[in-house]
Amino acid sequence: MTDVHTARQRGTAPASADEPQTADWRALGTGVRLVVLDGDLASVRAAVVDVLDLVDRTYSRFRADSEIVALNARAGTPVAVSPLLADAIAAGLRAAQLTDGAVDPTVGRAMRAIGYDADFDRIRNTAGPIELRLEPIPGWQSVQLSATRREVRLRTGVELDLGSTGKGLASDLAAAAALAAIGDTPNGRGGGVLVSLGGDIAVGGRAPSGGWRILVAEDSETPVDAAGEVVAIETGALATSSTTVRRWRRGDRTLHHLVDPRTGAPVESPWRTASVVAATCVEANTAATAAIVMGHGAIDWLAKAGLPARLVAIDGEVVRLGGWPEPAPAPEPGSGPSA
Amino acid sequence: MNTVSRGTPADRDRAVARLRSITIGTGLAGIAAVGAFGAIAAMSYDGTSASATGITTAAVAGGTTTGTTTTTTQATAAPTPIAATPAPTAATGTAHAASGSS
Repeated sequence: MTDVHTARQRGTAPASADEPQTADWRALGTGVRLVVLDGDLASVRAAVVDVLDLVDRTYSRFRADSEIVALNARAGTPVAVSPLLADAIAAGLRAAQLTDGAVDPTVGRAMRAIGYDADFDRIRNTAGPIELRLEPIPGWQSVQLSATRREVRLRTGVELDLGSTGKGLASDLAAAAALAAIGDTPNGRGGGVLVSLGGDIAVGGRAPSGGWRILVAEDSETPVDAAGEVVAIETGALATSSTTVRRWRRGDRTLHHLVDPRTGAPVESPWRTASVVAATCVEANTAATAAIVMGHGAIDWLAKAGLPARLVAIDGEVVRLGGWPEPAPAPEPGSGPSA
Repeated sequence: MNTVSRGTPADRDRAVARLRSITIGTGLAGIAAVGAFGAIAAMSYDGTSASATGITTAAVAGGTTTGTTTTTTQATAAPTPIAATPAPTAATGTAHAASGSS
């Protein structure tokens, strides 16, 4: 069910050309937020729904009829794939190369081994003990992709999981589709969109005055008016990875969804949360996930990549890199902008 | 009764020279064939190419077996680097969205 509202409906601001409309719903096992500036919310939302539905059918590991499940089942043989799956795998392989394997798409078996074998809404309700059988993941080199022929061959035994980059790519695609759905606006200024898919945020087109304001949290379900650090971006994307969310228990073990490719186990990192701003959401998500996996080495890697980032250590200490701003002073009551 | 014609030293030298030329020609043809086959293979499949084979050992925690798997090392082009990005600015007020893990 979609929750559609505007700032005016919530009684916080008058209607204006800069008043965005917002819709919230769930897809791909996570929350979706769409914010539209100068566009028809219903038609833009429909465009986003179409993209997310295609993503779900193409590379959801939790749909028995998805294309990636069929591909994983045919490891060892060349398989022709759809354009979207080819793009998604290419994004995963690029992420692996850029991060020297810290983010790797061949973690499918490792994910199943630690019990992440269904949509997360079902995972949390299962609490039986688990016998961990951990092994290093096969590595992205075990995937052969011919982009022009759209043909993939996985080495026997390899299973893809595009979770790290797939969600970011979906946000990018959804934002592009949303912006296209707005088209030309009567005022000639053009519209703008923000798409958040489980906290992986991509923006496109015109930004509202002051930019798109984003609450930087550890849990994407945090209410947007909660207290916390808010930053603004005009273009690009912001993504956050964290080991504090998507955790589950198996017997006496607490597990989470960020796998260390070197061990096949949930990563143990000095950082519990990483937020990164990048030109695309898939890059932002890649960098955020890599930062947690790389540990202390992430600081140099992010600096070389020129990416603004905010890292939260296990003890809560915040490290800001690449020009990430200090929090703005809290505004006087009633003086700040509202959505 | 058969008669055996015994070659002269000059005949032997000619035979040796012919064998040498055949050997060299075969070698050159082999090299050319390898190159041509490689070129055809490269043109017919643009995926990453297997160039070497390594051995890794996958230790199975909690079990008694140790599996040995073969991995393929690939020679690939460098990926497009991540573009440097302007930093966000500090802001106040109600956010349009919350970023976090899900």
